[in-house]
Amino acid sequence: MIKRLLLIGGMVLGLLPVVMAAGGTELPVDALAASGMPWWGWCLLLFITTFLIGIVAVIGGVGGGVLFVPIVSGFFPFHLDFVRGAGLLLALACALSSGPGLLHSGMANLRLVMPLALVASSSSIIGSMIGLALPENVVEITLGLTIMAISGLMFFTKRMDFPVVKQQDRMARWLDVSGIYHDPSLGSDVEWQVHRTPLGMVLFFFIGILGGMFGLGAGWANVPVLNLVMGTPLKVAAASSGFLISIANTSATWVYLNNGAVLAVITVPSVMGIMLGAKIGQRLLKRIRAANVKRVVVIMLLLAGLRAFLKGTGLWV
Amino acid sequence: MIEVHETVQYTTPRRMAYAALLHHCVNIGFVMLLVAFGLYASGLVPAHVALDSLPSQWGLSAKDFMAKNQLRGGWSWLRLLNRGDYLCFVGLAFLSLTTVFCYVRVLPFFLREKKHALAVVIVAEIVVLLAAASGIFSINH
Repeated sequence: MIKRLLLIGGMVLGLLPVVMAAGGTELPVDALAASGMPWWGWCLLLFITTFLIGIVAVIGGVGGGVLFVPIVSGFFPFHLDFVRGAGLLLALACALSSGPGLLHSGMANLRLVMPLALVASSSSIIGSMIGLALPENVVEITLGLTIMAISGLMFFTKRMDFPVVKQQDRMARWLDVSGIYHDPSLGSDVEWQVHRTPLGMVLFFFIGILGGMFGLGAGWANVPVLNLVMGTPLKVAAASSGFLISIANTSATWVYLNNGAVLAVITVPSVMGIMLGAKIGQRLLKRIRAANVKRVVVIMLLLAGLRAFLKGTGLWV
Repeated sequence: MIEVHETVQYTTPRRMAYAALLHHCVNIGFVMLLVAFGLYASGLVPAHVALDSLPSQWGLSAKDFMAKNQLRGGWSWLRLLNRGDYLCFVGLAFLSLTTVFCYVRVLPFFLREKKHALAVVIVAEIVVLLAAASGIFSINH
């Protein structure tokens, strides 16, 4: 029953943008803004949308930001600047609130995260400056292409629970990156180390740029790089990714804040909605098949990315 | 052979210190955000940009929005703390500074343990975050 409800909820969330956009073919964004709905009506709609995103994102194993930015920028009357500012802040808020738990679990590792976060947070400043300087339609088009690529990445990439790392690279040894955690599903301790750290850093540089440019949390990219490239166990990768977002997103957030690209009336309901939804999602996580929801998330990303692309090209305003 | 540096309990003092401070900061930040937004949305604290006029303005770019409402970038919002919309920025800024607080908190642990490479990384990150927070990376102004 819950599974069915959740799938219906996911499909409604997936269709919500399409329904709104169907109006959007006749009602351009400016007209939507002048449609007579009061500010609190938009806030309420935003809260409901982000609440659903929060549920689906947790179960689908993605950060809320990657769903929030394309959906809200594509189908709400807010300028992309404010949507990206809100996207960064909600990804930051979610990552910060989950941080203590991830650290207590022993799976998020400070020594793994800190060097990578330094690279990503530096490049996310560059990304956010590029994103704020480019014309809106260019950002929309590239956002659409990026989101569609992410949906492809999610669909095709296989992850490994325990990648084999025969030898640490020199940089990992120098930075002292290795660890141990207790895996309850195995009932034993798991020791891990990493390799290809320099390549990982280069990739995190580009992840930071994309995150800052589009206002996305970058869990969709962090986990595959940590897991498949650097060889961290999947659970360490997932936990460290969440923790990494809390650091890497901070610098881009400041650039958006300092450039006036944050509106409280958009940001606060979004943060509250997604955090509440994430809490419900965490409870539902054990009771439903995540694989089904992941398929819905991939489809949602594809639709939202396509919408952003078409909006940017002017084919579907 | 893997070098194991964490304790078997997986709760090194630096990790616990980071987690504890993060926990407190997040709670404080969210309370600040909720209280400020409540005051703003209820109208108890007047807004700089009237709530009713927002639907006709939130489609503007950040640059145009600021120009229309005679706003300046950077930390100029501190002068508008008597306005509900910018009172919310206190909570947002606090949450955005949380990582700096936590990094400052754990730096002594790494120095004591003579993990100099990571100490340098921590100091560099603090510099990057403070530079971002300072407002020097400005697009509109």
